[in-house]
Amino acid sequence: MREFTVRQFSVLSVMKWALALLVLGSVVVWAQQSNVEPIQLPPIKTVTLENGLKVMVIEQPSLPIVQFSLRVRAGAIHEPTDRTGLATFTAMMLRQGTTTRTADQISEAIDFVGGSLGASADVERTDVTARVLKKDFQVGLDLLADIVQNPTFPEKEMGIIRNQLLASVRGMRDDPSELASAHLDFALFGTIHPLGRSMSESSINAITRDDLVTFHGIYYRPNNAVLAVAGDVKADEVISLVKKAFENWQRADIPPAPLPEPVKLQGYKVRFVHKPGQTQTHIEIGHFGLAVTDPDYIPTVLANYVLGGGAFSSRLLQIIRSKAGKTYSIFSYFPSYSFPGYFRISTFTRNDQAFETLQLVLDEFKKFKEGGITQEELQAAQDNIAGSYILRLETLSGLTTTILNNDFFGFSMDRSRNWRKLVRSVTLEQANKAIRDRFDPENLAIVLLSDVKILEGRTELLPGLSIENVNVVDWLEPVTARAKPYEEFLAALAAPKGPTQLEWKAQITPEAKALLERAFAAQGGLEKVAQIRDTYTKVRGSYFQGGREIKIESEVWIKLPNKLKQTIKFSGGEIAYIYNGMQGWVQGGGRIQDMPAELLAEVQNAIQLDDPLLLLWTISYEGYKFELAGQGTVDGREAQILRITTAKGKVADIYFDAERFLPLKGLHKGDKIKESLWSDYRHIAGFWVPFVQKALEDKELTASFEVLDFKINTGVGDEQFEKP
Amino acid sequence: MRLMEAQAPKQTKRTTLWITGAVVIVAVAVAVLAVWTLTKPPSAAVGAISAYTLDNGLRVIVYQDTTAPVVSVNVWYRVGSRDEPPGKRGMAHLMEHMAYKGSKNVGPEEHSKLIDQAGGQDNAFTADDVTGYWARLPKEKLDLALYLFAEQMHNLVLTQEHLDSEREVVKEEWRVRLENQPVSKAFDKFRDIAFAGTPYAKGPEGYMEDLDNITLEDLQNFYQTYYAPNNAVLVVAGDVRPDEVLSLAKKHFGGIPKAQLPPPIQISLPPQTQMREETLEMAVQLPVIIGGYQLPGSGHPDQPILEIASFILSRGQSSRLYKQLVREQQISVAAGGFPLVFKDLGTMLIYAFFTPDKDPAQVKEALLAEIERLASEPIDDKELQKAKNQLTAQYIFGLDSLSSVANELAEAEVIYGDYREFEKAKTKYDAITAADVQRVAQTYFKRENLTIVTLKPEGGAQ
Repeated sequence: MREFTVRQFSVLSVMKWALALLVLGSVVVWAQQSNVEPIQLPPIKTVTLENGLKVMVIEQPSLPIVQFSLRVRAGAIHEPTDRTGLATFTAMMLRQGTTTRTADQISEAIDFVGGSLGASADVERTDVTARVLKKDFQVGLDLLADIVQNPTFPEKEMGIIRNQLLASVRGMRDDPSELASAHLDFALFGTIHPLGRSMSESSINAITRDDLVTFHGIYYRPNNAVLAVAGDVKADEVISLVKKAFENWQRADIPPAPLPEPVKLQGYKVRFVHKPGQTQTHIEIGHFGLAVTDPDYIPTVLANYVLGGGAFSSRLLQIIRSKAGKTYSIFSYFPSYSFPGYFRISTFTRNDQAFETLQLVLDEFKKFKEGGITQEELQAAQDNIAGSYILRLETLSGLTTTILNNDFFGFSMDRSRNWRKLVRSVTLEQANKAIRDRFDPENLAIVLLSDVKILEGRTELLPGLSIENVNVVDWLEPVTARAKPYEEFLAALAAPKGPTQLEWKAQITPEAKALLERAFAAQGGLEKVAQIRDTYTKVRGSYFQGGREIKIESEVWIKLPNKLKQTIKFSGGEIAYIYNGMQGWVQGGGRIQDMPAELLAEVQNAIQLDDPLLLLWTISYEGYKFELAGQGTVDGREAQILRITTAKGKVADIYFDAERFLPLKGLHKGDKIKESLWSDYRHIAGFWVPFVQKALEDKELTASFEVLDFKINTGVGDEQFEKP
Repeated sequence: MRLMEAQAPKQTKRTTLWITGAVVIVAVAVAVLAVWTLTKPPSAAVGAISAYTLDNGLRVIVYQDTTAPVVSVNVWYRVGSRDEPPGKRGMAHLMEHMAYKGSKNVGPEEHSKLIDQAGGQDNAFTADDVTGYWARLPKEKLDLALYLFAEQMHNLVLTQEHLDSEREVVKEEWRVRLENQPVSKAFDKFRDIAFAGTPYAKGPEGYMEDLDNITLEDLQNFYQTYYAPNNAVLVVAGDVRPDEVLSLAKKHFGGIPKAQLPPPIQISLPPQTQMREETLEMAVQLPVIIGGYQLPGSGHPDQPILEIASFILSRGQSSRLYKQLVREQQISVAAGGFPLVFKDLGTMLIYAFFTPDKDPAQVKEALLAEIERLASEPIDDKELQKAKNQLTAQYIFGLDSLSSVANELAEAEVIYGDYREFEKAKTKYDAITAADVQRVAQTYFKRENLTIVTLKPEGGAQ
């Protein structure tokens, strides 16, 4: 049994205060105990094994339960910059197979005893936990030891976990709170600092098995981990069993993970996330914070309680929710990291209250900074933060977490025992000094997430903050995408987009439709072609110009409806053409230039009419006309000619093989006759693709390529098509 | 609810699979089994339960656990959104908010401030069948908590000014939980169809228009009618002595007169004869199928068997739905099912999240086929034993948290009509056989009994 020496109020003294309350009425001064009694913890035995694994056994036998928590110093801050999500991926993969157990065997084993087994990665640590009934102690220990030391990262399992991670990236976008929060992290920390990076489709797709194996190999080491075993256990017994379970775990040097300095904030940095249809605006405000080990931490947390950490005891909730009715939730917060993190204020409100609420929050924040807090407010904060500490120790998991946290941050267990004294000894001067030093309402990152239409008609976001200084990003873009200045964003939104759905919208004669239907059928059907979002093609070949042959290798990404990126490698270097649907750039020889108009037109052409597969999408353009234009032959093969006239009057004749209904040739008559020839059709990525492609101008060969690779729907992000 | 559950952001956005949904899970009580005979019996200071009824009808249930000097206090009223009159949906929830806006002796917002200063935490929630108020504090503050809850029960001062501002707060809650959350909207649509013709068709959040139409008089009447000791249950779990709790309960609640309660409303759902389906198209990034097979309400003897069935289907990575849909077919990133049971009716809620490249019709078929396999093929003994072991373990793990125990006891008393259902969990799964599970699957997991809603992106994937 645990023993506590918390001062026990006799029933009599409690009743005295109750009676006093009844008499005093609505201004309640409930008894404050200046209670600085030490908090008793259950017996904890700590040993460090030869291989460096620290083992802490917490005897708490009130229920026949055992909880194993292995904490490894491996988290987001240890990930390479382009592998955000690696720590989580690794954690999720641990139980998906070891050298002696398959994923299914592990699942069956833990499920059969009704236990739980899991690993979860955070900013600077990963916790691997197993929870079992006491009688299943060995099952829990064996599984935990196995998945930590011997994971095999099978490729098949990786596929499943990868899909789950990609799904969670998508799911995050569906939650406006989470999305706004991720954008604030990015606005504060950028991508140079791990706190600013969010998992994205591209970062998850980039992670290979080698990455997982390497990450595990570097960080999952006994000298980089602490194992807490809590519950109905006896320390000596546990330690000897743990020794055995981890005896083959080898220590290794752990490379440090230095953190870069984030860029200082100057004034207000505003990032607006556009999510069409939002009826509520999310507001996230933040600046940099302090480490939990900083001597200012406790005074800062006490001050923060008064501002926004104390729920109904906090100024922000009282003013913005209770008095003004503007929101259901507002809070301010400092996390507990071993390095300076952030400070944030987080709330939401209906759209028509967004600006008023933002102003109100900033005003309260300024008042807080300028005026500090009162003794009464400090007392209330101390009463809660000191008094509620024992709630953390009530459950086995709460107890374990508290003890592991103390150890992780380099505190002794006295931090818990002396918590009340630590908290209650903070003076008003110290608290107000922490306010002056640690809270900064003048230099902030501000994120608003809402429908961008709430900015309509405004010249200022706030008094003195022009709308021109508001940068806007779309909710579907990766969190780390460049935000565009407001006007530029609006222009991009308004620009004709092209179809995102494959539908019969063009003017098509019945004969042309019959031909097109056979062309779709040849590619597996309209529904199949409709699923294309982007294509990737790698080719090798030559350009022919003025008698010269230039050998090249090229990669082309096309994202429907109208984005293109092409990189061309040749002996002299590399050129890239980038087009985002509206603007284009040419990158080469160390320079980036805007794409000239003729080139822009050619690129638009390339996407719509010059791609043998994607040209089928032109049926979705309302202003386009389709008709049959007779028959022809291409390389001895009979062909039917489909004539496409664009809304601007441009004409292209596409020659479809009369038997196979795959395009053999595309012909454009302008001041030059340009032809594209497509042959050697092979089935790849579910579609028929011509592996030999040639281009001619006035009958002269200008280019000839063979396809090396072709992919559909790689998920290439919009940011790949922006100015580099 | 009064307060957003996470009043601090999660420290990581890099959590594993994230699944949204405003599913109010009215958890079913769980089992303790043979484990008690294999290990030493629990020490006397954990698990003793006493129950009393005051003269005015207040039920008082005490669970003793001296492990930590903490108490968890629940005051649950037997009233929820199902009791709201048409045109006033959302009233029970608005009432919950108003319960903190001041009483005769405790100023507006003071209730929570006092709990905070006492080193406690508090919150409240509104569900279909019940409105619950709770606090968790150092044990010596029990008297304060009971004082405050008694004030709420008896002395509330409802004003127009507070109604006007709190109405706006409730609307903000409505917007954040429902209007701007695609999965919540899908669940809302599901309820609308599955429970059509009953008050359960709409959840505690109510309708925006109705919130505007709720008057001060409506709330006064609601308060007078339902917030009475003979319509409430007080549960105290923690380092307390039953006689002390009883004495404090009498002191604070004893003087509150009982009320004349309206006759209980019996709600019954006409049996479905045909599958009901709907598709919602929205700007959603992670589509989901949400469905449910009609079930009877809380008292039905098939409920424990349904729990076993749901664990076989859905508990752990070795469960059938996870294995088939996530691992074998890889058609889903998360799938599961569990009974959502109200007093008068229920549903076997099923779901599957999938990425937009998957065909929703295929996902639906895979989900239903696997569930229906429970009806067509008998389960083996190992799977049955596994489910029983899981339920047993869940019960024991639950005892580690006083608030979990307090909730289970309150639920047993309010939803199941008897706090002893909590302890009956020790034995009620013992006799369940594979044949029982198959029978129950055959009875309930039929397509004509099913409502299914598909939430997918509008106009094809983004």
